[in-house]
Order: sequence, then C-alpha cells, then structure tokens
Amino acid sequence: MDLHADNLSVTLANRHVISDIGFKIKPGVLVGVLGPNGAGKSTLMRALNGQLSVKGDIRFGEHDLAVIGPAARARLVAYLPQQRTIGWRLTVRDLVALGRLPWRAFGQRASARDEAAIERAMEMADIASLSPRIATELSGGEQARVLMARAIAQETPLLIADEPASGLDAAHQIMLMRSLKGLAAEGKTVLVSLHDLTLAARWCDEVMLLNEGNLAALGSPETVLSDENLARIYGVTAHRAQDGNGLIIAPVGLTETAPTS
Amino acid sequence: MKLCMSLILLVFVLFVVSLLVGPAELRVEDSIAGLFAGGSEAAAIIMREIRLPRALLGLAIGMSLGLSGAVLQGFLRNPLAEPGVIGVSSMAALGAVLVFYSGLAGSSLYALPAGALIGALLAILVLLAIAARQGSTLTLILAGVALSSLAGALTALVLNLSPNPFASYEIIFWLLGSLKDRSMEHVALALPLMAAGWFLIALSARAIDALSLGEEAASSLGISMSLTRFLIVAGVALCVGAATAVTGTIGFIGLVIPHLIRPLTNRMPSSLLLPAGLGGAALLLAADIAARIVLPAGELNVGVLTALIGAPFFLWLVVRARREML
Amino acid sequence: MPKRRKCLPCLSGLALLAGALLVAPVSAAPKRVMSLNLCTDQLAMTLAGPDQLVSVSFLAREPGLSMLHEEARSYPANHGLAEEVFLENPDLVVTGTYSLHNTTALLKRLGFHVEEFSFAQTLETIPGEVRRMGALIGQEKRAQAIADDFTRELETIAAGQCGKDPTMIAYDQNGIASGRGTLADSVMQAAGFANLAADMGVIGVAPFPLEQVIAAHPDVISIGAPQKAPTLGEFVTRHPAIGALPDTRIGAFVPEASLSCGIPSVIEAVRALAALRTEIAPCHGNAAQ
Repeated sequence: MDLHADNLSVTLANRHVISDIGFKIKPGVLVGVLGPNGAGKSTLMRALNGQLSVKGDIRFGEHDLAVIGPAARARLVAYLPQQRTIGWRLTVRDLVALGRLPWRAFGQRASARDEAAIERAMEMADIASLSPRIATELSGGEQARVLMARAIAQETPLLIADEPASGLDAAHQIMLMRSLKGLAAEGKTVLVSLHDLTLAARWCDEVMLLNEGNLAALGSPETVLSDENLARIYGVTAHRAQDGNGLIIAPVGLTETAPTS
Repeated sequence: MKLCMSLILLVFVLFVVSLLVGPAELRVEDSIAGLFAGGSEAAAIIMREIRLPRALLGLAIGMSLGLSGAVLQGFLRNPLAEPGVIGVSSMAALGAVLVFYSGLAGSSLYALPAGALIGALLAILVLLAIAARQGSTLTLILAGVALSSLAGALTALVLNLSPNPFASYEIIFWLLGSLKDRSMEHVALALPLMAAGWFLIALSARAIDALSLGEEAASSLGISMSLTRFLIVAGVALCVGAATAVTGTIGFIGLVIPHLIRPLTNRMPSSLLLPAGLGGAALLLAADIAARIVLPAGELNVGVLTALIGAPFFLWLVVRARREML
Repeated sequence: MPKRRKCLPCLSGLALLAGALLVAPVSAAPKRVMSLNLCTDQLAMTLAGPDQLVSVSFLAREPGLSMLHEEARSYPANHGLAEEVFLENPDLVVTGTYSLHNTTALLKRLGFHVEEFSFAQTLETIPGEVRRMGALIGQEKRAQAIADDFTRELETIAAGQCGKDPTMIAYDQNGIASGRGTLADSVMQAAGFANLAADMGVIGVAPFPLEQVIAAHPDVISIGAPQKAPTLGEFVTRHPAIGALPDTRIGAFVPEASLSCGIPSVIEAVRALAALRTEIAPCHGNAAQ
C-alpha cells in the first residue's frame, strides 16, 4: 500500500507548521524524516497518525487516514511518540503487550498470535532479557527500546517512529536501524525521524528533508543529504566518506551564513 | 483471579458482620431468622428495613468509591487522584444540598441524586479541563483542594441559610458522611445509578491500559479519547454523585484502596478495577462496622473513620510521590 | 416510677417557697414591662394588663415556637439587645436565666430591674412561675386563677386514666428522643404515658437508635410536624422501619410549639396526648382505680 499525502497542511495556534506538503512512499521502504529542530518532523508524524486536524489528503492504500476511525487506524498505523511515557510500574512484557490491544476484542485474552508478536518485537528491540523487569526502573535507553518494541508488536503495515534512536547507545542505534530495515524488507512502510545524518544515510532507503514546514527534498540519501542541502537547511558543513556499506556524514562546522531562519 | 476470590470472601464476611452489628443487640439466630423468615416482629423489621439497606449501601458505595479512585488514577496517570481529594465528592454534596434544602423539589429524596450528579459532573469537567492543560500531579491536587474548600464552605452556607433550624446540624453529615438510618428507599435511589456508573467505568478498561503510555500512544492504539473521557466522566459522576447523595462525603477510600491493591496485581490499570471495587466495599463495610462499635449509642460518622485512615496515608503518598513516580 | 411521683409534691412546694422568697412585695405594679425571652413573652402576654407590656422578643412571633404568635404581632418586637432596653427604659425587664447572660448582667449594672425565670423542664413548677410573674407585674388575681385552672385540669386528666400506661417515645429529627428531665417527659407522664426513652435511661434530649425504637415497639411514636423547609433528619422519623411496626400509632400528636416553654399553654399538649390515651386505652365506664 502506498502512503500518499497531497496538499497536506497543518496549522497549530495560527501558525503554519506544515504547509502544502505532498509525497508518495511505496511499501517496503524505510524512510528517514530529517530536518532541523522545528522543521515540522513531529507534527508531520502526528498528522500522519491522525492526531491533528489537517487540511489536504492522507491516503494509505485505499484508506483515507484523515477520516478513518481510531480502531481501524490502529490496525494500519503504529505510532511511537517522541514523548516517552510509562505511567505505572508495569513489567516490560506487559508494556509491549499493550501493542496488541488493537487486535484484541474487549475482554479477550491474548491469542497465540499475540504472544508470538510480543516475543518477536522484544527480540527485535533486544529486550527479551528484560521481559520480567519493571519498565520504570530501566535506563532511558532501555525504556526507549521497550516502547519501540510496543510499536513493533502492533504489526501494522505502516510504522511511524518519532526519534526512536535518541538516548540509545551506539550498538543499540545500529540494532534499531537493522530491525526497522528488516520490517521494511517484510513489505511494511516505515517512517522514522532521526537527527543522526550518518544513521539516516546508511540505513534509510529514502530521506525526507523538511525545512520550516516545507518538504525541501525527498529521495535517496545521497541526493538529499548533499553538501548544498546540509549548508542551506542545517547551516553546517560536513565531512563525508564512503565505505562498503554506504555514506558517512559527520557535521564538522557551521557555514558562514546562518541557516535561513 | 485468586485476589478477586479472596476479596469477594472478605466482602461477604464483612457484609454478614455488618448485618449482625447494631444497638438493638439481636442474637445471631434472631438476626438470621429476621432476615429470611417473614413476619413483622421487631427482628424482621430491624434486619430488613434498617440493617440490610445499610449493609447494601456500604457494599455498593464502597465499591463505587474504590472503582472511581482506580479509574481516575489510571485515566490521569496520577496516583493521588481520588474523588474526595480532588473535590468531586464535595461538589456532589454541594449539588445535593443546593437542590434539596432549597425545597425546589419539595422534600423528595429524588432531589438528592439529581443535585449530586450535577455537582459531581461539574467538578470532573472543571478538573479535567485543568488537568488536560497542565498535566502535573500537583496542579490537579491543588485545583481539587480549592474546589473542596469552596464546595465545603458553600455547603455550610446553604445549610445555615435554610429556614429550618435543624438543617445546620446536617453540615457534619455532608462533610463527613454516614450510613446511619438509611432505608431501602435510599438503596432503590442510588443503586441503579451506581450500577450504571460501574458499567461505564468497566467499558473504559482498555482505554486506561493504553493510557499508561500517554494520550498520543493510546490514541494510536485505537482508543477514542473523546469516548473514553465521556465514559469516565459519566461513570465517576454517576458513582460519586449517587454515593454522596445518600451518605454524604466519604473520603479517601478511592485513594487508599487502589494503592493497597495495586502491588497485588500486575499494575495494569484495568486489572486493578475489580479488586479496587471489592476492596472499597470491604473498607467501607469495615469502617461502618467500626463506627457502630466505637460509639454504640451516638454513633461515629463513618467519614471520620475513613479520613482518620486516609489522611495520614495521603500525606505519606505525597512524600513518597516526590521520590518515585509510580 | 411511683417513687418519682411521690417526690413531686415536695418539689413543687420548694418552688413555691422559692417563688415567695424571690418575689419581695412590690409596692406599685410596674407600668412598663419589657420581655426579652420567648417563654417570659408568652407568660407576660397572658397576664399583663392593657398597655402594660411595651415589647416582646421577635421569637414570640414564630409559629413554630410560640403558642401566642398571633397575639405577639400586636406588640412591638425586640431582639434582646441592651440598647433596645436602654432606649425603652422600662420599669421591669423579664427574661430567662439561660439566655442573654451578658445582656442581663449589663442591664443590672445599668440599674434596671431585671427578673429572671429559670423555667424548670417540668409541669409541677408552672403554677409557681405563673404566680411569680403575676406578683411581679401586679396581676396576682389573674395569675392565681390561671395557676388554679392549670393544676385542676392536670388533676382531672390524671383522674381520667385507667389501666396500664401505654408506652410512648417522642422521636424527633435525626433520631433524637426526649428522656428524663425534659418537659416532653413531664407532659407524657401527666397524660398517662410511659416515656420509653426515660425508662431506657435517656437523660435530657439525646440520640436514640432507630433499632431500639423498633425493638422496644412502643404503642405511640410522637414525631414533629413536617416543616416547610426539608431536612434529611426528618427522613429518620419517616423511616420505613417505623412505618412497618404493627399497631403503633405514629404522628404529630402534640400541637406545634406547645412544648417549647414551661408555661400554662403546655396544657394543650397534655390535653392532646390525654385524648390519644383515652382512644388507645379507654376506661369502658369502669371507675378509675
């Protein structure tokens, strides 16, 4: 199913946070959503998940995500908010199991399929060993992985994750990206907002670069994360290199002219 | 569900004890005969018209308060949320007092729940508006304190202004509730409303689980926030409104019980609901038994006892909540 | 019970003696009398001559408290304030012992002639109080006549009773009963009822558990008349458990306000209850024993 946005605008408190964005993403693609602070990454992701009222069209396959009901949407779109909230002293496993809520009728017990999805999601987020631990007693990075696993367990064709890599150590950042790539390889559409340019460049199939609510560029990491775009939008100069697995982009300094904001 | 079974057993035992305690000092066999055998002897009247409604109300109102506390805590992700603490009960009392003592509805008992429901509803809507804008635990509690003090003062004012000199004696009842001398009329009045409240609260079980992850994640899990808000606002208003209408303000049950019971569950908000309801019933029945035993003739207001247990507990929670967020 | 009855004559004798000692012979009857207390109001209104009473308390106009509330409207009302007394400058101020302590002390210091009435909560002292008021305001003859009528009627009522006294409880808002030492208790006894609360050891006006009312199963439950402004306490006297008692008479049998003061009009309460007793336990023409 294609994810298709047309003339998409979001206005929050009389400010255009997203103005007139349009794009089309094929299934099986891992998309990195990039852009400086305040570019509209989180707003776009919330809008795609129906958390905000929008102008324009958002379609996922034949489904109109702007009008779809919450129960039906929850079986199509999984969303990991940037804000990491864990309300009670729940075990890791119970938290991940919440991802199966959309697939269970009221009062129904977890099915074998639910159990399998929970186990798999915990494997992918490398938290299987934390299963009986109390989530609120874990480190920030571990909590981030638990919440990611919750979204993965939802097993939806579209997964939207807002900064899942922040707070993760280097190894777990790579593990996270590998898992997301694996999900995309299964034919899911995965949108993930990132700050790390190298992570985006090496793992994402496509990169969506946002700037002040506009879509500045969408395409392969090589074309989108060009020196020119980095200078114009981030206001940085970067050192770049290439190895057998892809691009390495390390921001090293600021450009002479401040970024256009 | 070993926990629920043992709680049910506890509630049953306390219910029976509640039926056996009273100033008339009936023998156990007379009490049982009075309850089940027919006749119009004193024992039958005492059991059926005085003690049975009292025990039924203790059970149902304790259940309502326990459930309301559990669901509010789950919904607001706030371990201090409780209908009494956040002022819903006092607003319900104010509503009941305004409608009843003004004589707007004659001297009909139906004026009580009508007014109490409106009061409870208003309080919850105001608090949710405040809590929604500023999610902090403290904001809600402070707003609740303001609301309770205002409602308490206005309740006293309305009762003082009543042309009936006896009305002002009833301030204590409204501020610190009592189950004394209630009748089957009160049961018929309050029980259907409370049962409707239980039903609505039960329907919100999935939503409060999902809300452990915050509103956005919950909504992405297919929870309709507006529906959830309706279920919980209406459910709690029905429970607390109906309960307060017939027994005045009984505080802290919805605070103490979820905290005692939560460690015995997997801490998932939905799995706390039924045990918290049963625990609330057990606590109120026990407190009401104690209220009759401590001062047999004059009889203590049961709200005094729940406050004596609950207020220090609340303080302890406030101190602890600073150190660890639950 | 008989023991207490035996003691009553000596009590009333004491009251008489006290009255005689307190009321020193007054040379001239006071022309301007002011009453500051609901009970002295009613006593004074009953006895005073035309234009002798300058004002009565505002409570005397309350139908729920005062038997003479209509008559009270023809007098100016005071609120028991020392300033009001000072402006009016009466020859005699009558008031109750238990009300307006400070006012009474102040008025005495200002040199007013203040007479206090203690209104003991029993019928036996009433003739003495009537005579004392009569002596104070120079209406001794009228007072004597009223006191004699009162005593005679009590005797007549007592003579008309036969058989065992039916039991009764005066049950009020919130489950409050009148026990020993209350005017209601005295009235119940005079009307030939056994006061259940007093017999169960209640002293004064005190809470009485509903369950015990049911368990004791009295012949009569006397409750207050329903008020215009509702209270929850009223629902206790209307509790279905009370209604379920077989053969128990429940109702507002005592005329409103008749029990609020120990004055001659309390005889109306005795009369009403005596009539009820005759209905419950008629003498069937047998002579009283």
